[in-house]
Parts: sequence; C-alpha cells; structure tokens
Amino acid sequence: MSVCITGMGCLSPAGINCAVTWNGLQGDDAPELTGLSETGQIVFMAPLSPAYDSNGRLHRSVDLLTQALDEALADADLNVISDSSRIGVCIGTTSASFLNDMDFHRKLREHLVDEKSLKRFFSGNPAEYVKKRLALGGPAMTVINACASGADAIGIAMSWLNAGICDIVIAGGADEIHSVSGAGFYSLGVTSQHLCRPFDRDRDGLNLGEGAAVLVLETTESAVRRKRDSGLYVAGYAAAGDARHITQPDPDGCGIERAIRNALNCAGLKTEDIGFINAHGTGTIHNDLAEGHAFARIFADKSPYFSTKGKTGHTLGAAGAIEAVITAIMLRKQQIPGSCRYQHQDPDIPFRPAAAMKITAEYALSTSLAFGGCNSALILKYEPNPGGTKL
Amino acid sequence: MILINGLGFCSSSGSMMQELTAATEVNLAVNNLTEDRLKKQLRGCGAFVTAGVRAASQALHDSGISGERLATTGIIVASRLGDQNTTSEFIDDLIDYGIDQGSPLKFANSSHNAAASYIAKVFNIYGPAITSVNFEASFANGLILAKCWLEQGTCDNVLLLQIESCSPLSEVLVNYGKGCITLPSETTAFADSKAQCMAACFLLGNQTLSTSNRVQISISRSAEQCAAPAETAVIETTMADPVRLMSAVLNPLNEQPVTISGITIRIATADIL
Repeated sequence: MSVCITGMGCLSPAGINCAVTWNGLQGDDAPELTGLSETGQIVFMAPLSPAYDSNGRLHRSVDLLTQALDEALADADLNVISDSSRIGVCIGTTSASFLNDMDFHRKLREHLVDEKSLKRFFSGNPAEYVKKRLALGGPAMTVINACASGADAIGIAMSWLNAGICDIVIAGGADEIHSVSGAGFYSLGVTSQHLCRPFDRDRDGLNLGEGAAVLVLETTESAVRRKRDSGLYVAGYAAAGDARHITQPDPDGCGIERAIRNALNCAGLKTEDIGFINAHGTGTIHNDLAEGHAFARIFADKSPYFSTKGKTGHTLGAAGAIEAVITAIMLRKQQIPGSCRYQHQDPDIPFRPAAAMKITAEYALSTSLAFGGCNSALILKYEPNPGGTKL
Repeated sequence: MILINGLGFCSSSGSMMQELTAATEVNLAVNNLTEDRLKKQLRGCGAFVTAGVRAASQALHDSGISGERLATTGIIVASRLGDQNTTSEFIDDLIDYGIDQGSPLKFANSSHNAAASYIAKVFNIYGPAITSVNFEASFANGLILAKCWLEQGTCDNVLLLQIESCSPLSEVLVNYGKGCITLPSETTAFADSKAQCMAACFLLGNQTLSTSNRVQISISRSAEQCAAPAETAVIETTMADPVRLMSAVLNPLNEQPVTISGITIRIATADIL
C-alpha cells in the first residue's frame, strides 16, 4: 500500500536544499564543492550550512542529517510535534557511520578514551540521534546495508506504516566524506581519477560524495488528518540478494532485476507504468553493466534511465535517500536531467541512458545496489491534487 | 501470530564445519555445497561472520526448511555494536601503515552487512537482507521488521540473527553503561577479527515447515516502554534479548510473556495450532 511523502529535505553536492537541487543536476560540470581525498581521489562535498556545523563535536554525517531533517520537518509542517508516540525514525548510513569512527578507534588504542569521546561515539548512531533530538516514541532503526541503506530505510519505514506501527516515519540516509570509506574504495581500485561518467563506455570508476536526505512518510489517514497533501507517494519497494560476491554485483544484474520486479508487484504496476529510472549508476564497470542488463531485460528501451552521481558523487548510505528525493523532484517537474558526462555507448550495455528531456510520468523507479549483493528498488508516484494543501 | 521454526546459537570457538556439513547434507543438497566449498567461501572472514553462519546453519538444520523455500527467505542481522573487530583491523592498517595502505580484502569484509551477505551466499538465499545496529533496541527492531515482512507477504520465512563480538569497544561500553569509564584490559586484543563472538538465530515463518513446528508467538509493541534511550544504555549482557526469547521458546509451557526492549512476546506451543 502506498504511503504519503509529506515532507522532504536534501543536502548533497548538487545543492544545499531541495529547491536548488534541480539546478545543481544540470550540465556536465563538476559540482561547486570538489576536493581531493586523503588518497588523492576526487570527492564531491555537500554545502553544509555553518548553522549546522558542529565543528567536530558531532560526526559530520550527523550535521548533514540534521540540516536535511530540519528542512524536511519544516516542509511537512512538523516543526512542532504534538504526539511523538507514533512517530518512528529509520536512517541508513554506511562506512562513515560511528562504526568507523577512526578518531575514537585511535583513542581506544592509545588508552585515551574519555567521556567526551564516548558521548560523541553514541551520538553517531543517526536514528538514535534523531529519536533523542525529537523525543520520538516510535521505533528507531539505523540501517547499515552498505550503499542501499538509504533506500532500505525508506522501505522499512513503508513496512512500519503499513503494519500500523507508526503514523509517521522520518526516513532517510546520511554519510560523509570519510577517511575510512575513502581509503577502502581506493584500496578496491574503484575510484576514478577523473570526474565520473556513469554508463559511458570509457567510465573508470566512481567519485565519492557526501550528503543527507530525509523524507517524512505518513499513512494516508495521518496525512489527511494533518491536511498535508504533496501528491507524492512511495508506491512500492522491494529488496533482493545476489548471494554471489561480497563487493561485486551479479554481472547480469539478476539481483536488481528481482528487486525491480518485486517492487513493481508490490506497487501493482506493469513495466510500462514506469516513466523513468533514476539508476544507482556509480560509474564503475560492474555496477553500470549489471544495471544496464537488468533494465534492458525488464524495460527494453521503453523507460529512460540515467544516473545523477555525476553531480552528487556516490554518497554511499545516503545515496538511496538522496536519489529518492531527487526522483520526487523530477516527478514534480516532469523533467529528467540526463546522465551527466555520458558520451559513448558501452557496447555491452544494450540501451543508452537518456538525455535531458521533458517527460510525462506518474511513476518513477529508483534503484540501489550495494556491497554484499544487496539490491533495492523504490517506486515513487506523483498524483497532483489541485485541491491539496501543498503542491 | 508467527512461527518460530528453527533455533541456532553459537559462540565462535571451535570448528564450524561439523554443523555446516550437517546442515548441508540434511537441508541444502540442492545447493551442491561441500565442506571444501564452504571453506573457500568463508576464507578471510572473521569470527563475527563465522558465528552468524554457524547459528544460521543450526537454525536451518533445526527447521528442516527446503532449499526451494530457503531461496526466497529474508535475512535480518541485528547487532548492538556491529563487527568492531573486523572494522578495527582495516582501520589499524590505515593508522599503522598509512591511509593509502588499506587492504581491499579487509575493507570488503569490514562492510557492516558482511554477515548477512555471507549467510546469503553460503546458503543460496536471494530474499531481502537487512543489517541494523541500534544499541539495546537492535534485536527488538529486528523482530518487529521480521513480523512486518511475514505479515505483509514480503517473504514466507525470515532468518533473524543477533551477532555480537568481544572487542575493546564492548569492554569500554559495558563499563560506561555501569557509570564508569575504564580502558580496555591489556588482555583484550585490539583489532582481532578472530576474537570471540556470539550469534543467535531464529528461523521465523508464517507457516509450518515439514519437520518442525516449534512454537507460535505474538508480538506487541508499547510506545511507553520505548522511551528514547539514554546514551549510556548500552550493553550489560549483550545477547540478553535473543537468549531470553530462546529460553522462553525452549520452555513454552511457562506461558509468561517475554518483554524485551519495549516489545512483549507471547508464546504458545505449536500443539494448539
């Protein structure tokens, strides 16, 4: 059953909030804030507002999350929460979460752990942080499903709402440019020395990025009660495993194909209902090949697909949530930006990604692939209601 | 109501091959697994992953689930603190040898969803897999999600695990939970992925399996019991929640509901189904 999206917040290298993100997705230029990681790889930074910069008191992921959270709460008119007992929170994150806190680990090694560092460690669990900050009474879950975490957090939120566990769930993802993830992806040899070119024949890897996105998801009853109607919905979600390799996706894309078909089934849709596909599209050889094959088998050339990671970078645990928000923005605008820096068709990928264009779409698909063979598919719906309170 | 069709529990000491081989022979012949192939699949894994695979194998063996049903099973791995030892091994290399000297194998295995991934790979499970980490609410969260999946038809069976490791961090946090800050003892190895781990596994389902039908449970959640956790509320006994449920499942005539982290579980013997 669909759930309502009544608020969104998004902070990524493509923009400081939802309102400017569309403009940040245009063209082939690098995003405004780029730099080099400690291993010399190009990374894309998010324009964190100084008002949200804790200057190291909290993890940067938490700072990013807080900024996106406040935007989403304002958008959903949830700045004042009257009854928090039926509000849950589910946030995805990955290698830059508190589990990889390098400073904390160094202090442990050197026997320098103190109360300040312990407090910082505990505040680094993003769902627990939001639950505490907003004094929520519903469930709180931090998903660490690698690069599908953000999408899975939204899917779990949908399950809670449909099960009647919550009326509202704050769902999303957050991740920062981090020494450990930077060093890890460098060690795997999957980062590009150049600006990434998802789905291009000459693609040679990904650029890491950072950011956060939050969606306020609500049951229809709750949204009606609060007189919130954005016309946006999460219509379907599914996840499926490759059961094949710890880091590489199934080269034929069988796992993501199962996830997409199950998500279509969950939403009660046919393949031709999908107006466009916001692909995971990292710019690595294997990811783009897997997705390209899966899209070809399911949609042939009927649904335009593209990647936005040329503008956001790969934001890891935040990616699924950021791309869900971006997909919603595109549904509202009825436009897609095309696949950044794409030039040459890969002969191993049957169909080319889309160029920028206007579209007519009620439904759109957002895909996420992750280490461990995790694959997730989200389907969003836009059904504008002229009588709604907020369009 | 959901069914608990299989149980598994292990500490990481000892050989895992006996249990794995038994599970393979009884339940998973369709997957053509051999002991040699299992060894290859789990090479490079630390005790956290190994404990999870062992517990899963026991639960699958206990349940008698068929390979066909297993293929669409969901996997939920909950942990209070995650696999700190394997993560630390990768970070140690960065500190000791330089930021550009990380091991790709260690990084791959430090992915926080590695245990779920290896369970899927070893037993050919293609269903949804979620790994979460939420201090003391971890197992309860996993149980709630499993219930959602089963009731909403996401899958017919769910492997729910909690896995915890002994690490310098867990030692510090246990003491911090008691109100004091202590440093890890000198006997606690840093970044030792072979350090002791524990895993508990429940095979949950929405229908009876062929050879097993242990108990049925109902789950209710109380918001009042789930107030936002204090930042010191971490681990007194890390595996308390799954052990409490497992004990109740093994003694279903007790009829006392089990309360863990804000959820109440009522247990009934399968005979009354």
